[in-house]
Formats: sequence, structure tokens, C-alpha cells
Amino acid sequence: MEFKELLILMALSLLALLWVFPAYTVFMGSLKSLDDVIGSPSFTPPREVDLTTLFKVLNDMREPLVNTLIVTIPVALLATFVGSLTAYAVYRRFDRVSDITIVLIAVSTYIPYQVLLIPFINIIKGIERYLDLTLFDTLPGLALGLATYYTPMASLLMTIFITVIPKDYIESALVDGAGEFKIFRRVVLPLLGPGLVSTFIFILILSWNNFFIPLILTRGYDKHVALKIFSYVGQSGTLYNEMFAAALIGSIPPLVLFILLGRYFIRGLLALGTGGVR
Amino acid sequence: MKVFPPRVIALDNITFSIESGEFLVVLGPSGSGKTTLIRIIAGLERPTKGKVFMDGVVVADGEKGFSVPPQKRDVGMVFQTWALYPNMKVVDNIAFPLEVKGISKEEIRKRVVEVAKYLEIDDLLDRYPRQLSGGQQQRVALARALVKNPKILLLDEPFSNLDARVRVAAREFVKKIQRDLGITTILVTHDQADAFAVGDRILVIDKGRLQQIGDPSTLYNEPVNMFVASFIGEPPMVFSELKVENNIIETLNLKLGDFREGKVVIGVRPDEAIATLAPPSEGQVALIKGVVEVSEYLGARQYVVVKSGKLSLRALALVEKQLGKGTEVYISIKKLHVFSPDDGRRLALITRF
Repeated sequence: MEFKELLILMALSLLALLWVFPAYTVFMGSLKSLDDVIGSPSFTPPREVDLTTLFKVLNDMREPLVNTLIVTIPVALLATFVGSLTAYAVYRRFDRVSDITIVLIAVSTYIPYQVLLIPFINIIKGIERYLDLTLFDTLPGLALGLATYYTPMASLLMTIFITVIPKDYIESALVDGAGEFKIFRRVVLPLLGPGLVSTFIFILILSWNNFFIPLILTRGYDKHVALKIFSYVGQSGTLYNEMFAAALIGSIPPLVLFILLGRYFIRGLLALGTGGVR
Repeated sequence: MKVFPPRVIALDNITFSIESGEFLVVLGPSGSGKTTLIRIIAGLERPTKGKVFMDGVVVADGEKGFSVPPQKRDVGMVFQTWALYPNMKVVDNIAFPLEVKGISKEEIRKRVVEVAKYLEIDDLLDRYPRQLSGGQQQRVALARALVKNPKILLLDEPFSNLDARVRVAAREFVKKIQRDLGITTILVTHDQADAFAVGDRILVIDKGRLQQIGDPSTLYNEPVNMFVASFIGEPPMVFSELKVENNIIETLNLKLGDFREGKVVIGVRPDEAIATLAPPSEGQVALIKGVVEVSEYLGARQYVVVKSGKLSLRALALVEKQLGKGTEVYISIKKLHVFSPDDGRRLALITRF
């Protein structure tokens, strides 16, 4: 092999090792008992494989896992759908108004969540009052919060994906006499397939990993996986082994989803690059 | 129907009308504004100034900012890319315009099959567009445009995506349909052969300006300016700039009506200038002697580019052997077009020598 190739290979291997290292540490840590994990460096393998940690945490995680699934899947679906509607409206309009709209949406994704924390709570409380609902510390409330937070990003992604659809199809449908909703439903949505899946996966993973919105909108640790993982940090010390186990278990559902749907995700990205769905 | 859409950049003051049942071709090079014109008629664009009338009703008014949306215009359109919905079968593609109208499913099916049979694609109904050939896709697009019995049919360069061989058949097919159904049709193209094959009248457009509108014969024989003269006719006309002194055009020694002094541009159609090796016998017209520069040999005939002084022209030589460069030939011109070198408009048409 040439020297340059060797160098690149070495660099890539180093990078790969760096990336795998945290996962490796988490995996190792989840197999240790409490004394072991506190007493030894994080990257060393367990003195003695202790599976009780894993089993205990698996049990603890049951409720958070189910709750998170119940919340994040509808969130991703809703955000993606609203996002695609937005993208369609912008694509159809294509003038100054739509340009400004997109800029506003983009800017709203840049806003740091810290700025949003208190307004978020105020809005949720406001809705509770006006509609006489309980939203705070409920799964629907959390879903609403996450969906609101991620819809701008979904809109942005979908506006990019929608540009792949040639305007000819939409114009042909217009001349054929179809109204906007019919065009959206029959012509645009089917052609957005890979884009929709990509956005769905992306938003799902983001909401699965989101820590702060569940933190401010719910009490306790059981409504979201991210909170549960944090729950092992205590006043007098942190149960690292259980925390690692929780992190490991908590990361499996999105991983499984990505493995299952990943090819659509890649197809979506490819569509962006080659500018065509076919 | 009458159409008046002037628009500042793309279309400049175009006014014309089309009769019911007429086949009008809008002919022009790329960027001439012909697609913009047809899109305004369809309702996909709005005119900045001017009005569009359909059956005497205003459907677009530039100054008032009013434009009836395409859905309500009862127009059928075939796009250059055909724009067949790829996620639907052929039968659903054709049925699409009827679904909006609230017609029963059986009735829709009936009409779709009817149109499909007429266009000879009824055996393709269950396929998807990507499984069809270019010619077949075009017929599906036509079926979709016609199924709702529109007031006017618009075709945007429908033949440019077809192979040359399929193109001739497709042209005849479209012409036949138009005649059978008697539907008012506007076809946009950059290919003058398309225009001549199907058009009742041709509207020539360049840089957003209407150059000439008329039937094919008029456009061919009496082009109103250099652009029309050069764009129409295959092989194209060759132009030469010649001086005029005392009413006489140099080299040709022809008298030119009221034009006294100056420069003119001469154009001759290749099929109206005959090149012979021997001086032709009696009853012949404007004779010049020239030298062959290039010969385009096509078997049964050949076109030679001949130079005589400052005059250059392309002539038809009905000689079996290919004429080599430098051969002396005699040119008999049947018709001469004289244009102004400043704005290209026709000054005179000389047929008597």
C-alpha cells in the first residue's frame, strides 16, 4: 500500500476508535458492579462480569422506554407531516413572502433552548387554562412540546426534499383541475416518500435524545428515557454502572429503527444529491 | 378566442387571435418567449400588461392583476416532459382530470377507456409511466389532456423528446386527432418542420416579439423579415450584403424599385436557385455565373454554395456527380428577397427578372 493510503487508513482508524470509545466504555461499565465501576478506570473491562446491573436497570427502564416510544413516534409523525405541508406551501408560492417565511423558520431553529424554557412552560400553562386541559407532566403535553420544538426543523428539511420534485407534475395537476389538497395528497406526498422517512427518522432520534424539554415539562424521571438516565446521578454519588446500563438500553430502540429504516434514510439523502427520486 | 398578452421582458406586445377549431403553431428559437406565451394562456403565468380572452370572456387582465387559475380554465395541456404522474398507473393518470369533477367511477372508467382506445393505448392502462416508451408516454399525456374535453389544447414542444423516427408518426397522429375532434389547438415548437407538418397558421416569435403570423405558404414565400426568412425553410436561406447604386444592385445588375443608394441584404432560397453547368436555354431568369465553394451531396440532389463577387448563395444542382470546389456554374434565380440591413425587414420581393 502506498504511504499516503496507509496514513489515511491510520487516521481513519484512530477516528473510528475515538468514536467507538464512549460506547465501549458504556458497555463495559454496564457489566460492572458498583464498587468495580467506581474503583476502576472507565475503559477497563470488568473484574467480574456482573449481570445484575443490567437486569435491574432493564426492569427500571420499562416504563420510560414505553413512554418515550409513545411520545416520540407521534411527535416525529406530526412534525414531519406539518413540515411537509409547510414545504408544499412554500414551494407553491415561491415569492418574497415564502422566502421570508423560510428565513423565520430557519432562525427559529437557531434559538438556544435555554431561551425557550420559560416561555414554553408559560404557553403550556396558558393552553391548559383556556382549553381546560391538563398538559403539564403528561405524555400528551410532552408530545405537544416536543412536536412544537421540532416542527421548524422538519419544515426546513422537507423544503429541501420537496425541491427534488419537478414543478411539471404540480403544474400538470393544476391544469388538470386539481385543488391544492388533492395535488398534495395524490401527487406530491407519494413522491416525497424517502424525504418523509428521512425526516421522520431524524426527528425521532432528536426527540429521543432530547433532555431539556422533558425536564421542564414533566416531573419525575419516568416519562422519558433521557431523564431516566440522568436519574442515576444522586446527591451523594452517581451510580455509574446503572447509568451506563440505562444509556446502553436507552440507545437500542433508535438504533434498531435506524437499522430497519436506514436504507430509506440513505435513499432520501441520495435523492437530495442527485436531484431525482427515480 | 383572442389573446393579448404584452409583457415587458419575456413578451413584448403580442396580439393575436385564434379561431375555434384552428391549429396554431407558435414557432421560435429558445428563449423567444413562446413557452411563456402558452403558459399565460394556460393560466400558469400572469401577463404584466394586456388581456387574455377565451370565448369572449376575460380570463386574465394584466393591469388589474386578475387571472383565472388554471384549474378553472378548461384547458388541456401536454408538457414537454409529459409530466405523467409516476406513482400512478396509466389509467389513473388519464382519469385524474375527471376525478375532480365529481363524476361517477363507472362513468370515469368509461371515458378513460374511450380516449385510450381512440389513441390506441388501451392495452397499456395497467402499466406505470416508467414502463412505457416515449411515444406511448406522449399518447398518455394527450389522453389525459383530452379526456375532459377542454376548450383548447396546448402542446409545449411535444415532439422534442421523441426519436426522429417516432416524431414523424407522432406529428401525423396529432394532426389527425386535431382534425377529427375539431379542437382548437396551440402547439409551441422550435422546429420549423413540426410547424409546417401540423399548423393551419404559424406565429413566428423572436425575442418576445411577434415576427409574422400566417399560413405556412405565406411564411415560406413571403417572409416579412430576415428572421422569418432564415428560420423557415430547409436548407436555410443564405444572405449577402450588396451595394445599390442608381437603383441597380451590384453583381446581379437588377433594378430595384425606389431604392436609390445604399446597402441591401439579398436572400435566396436554395430550392429557388438552380445551378447548372451549362448556360440554360430560353425563358430563364436572373443569370449569374459563380464558382462552387462547398457542395452538400445528398444523393438525388446536391446543394452547392456558390460565390459570385460579393454574392453568396446556396443553390440546388440537379447533377448526378458531386461538383467540386471551383467548378463554374450558372445560377438561375426564381425568386429574390431583398431586406434592409438595419432592421431586417423586407424591402422587396423580386420574381420578375
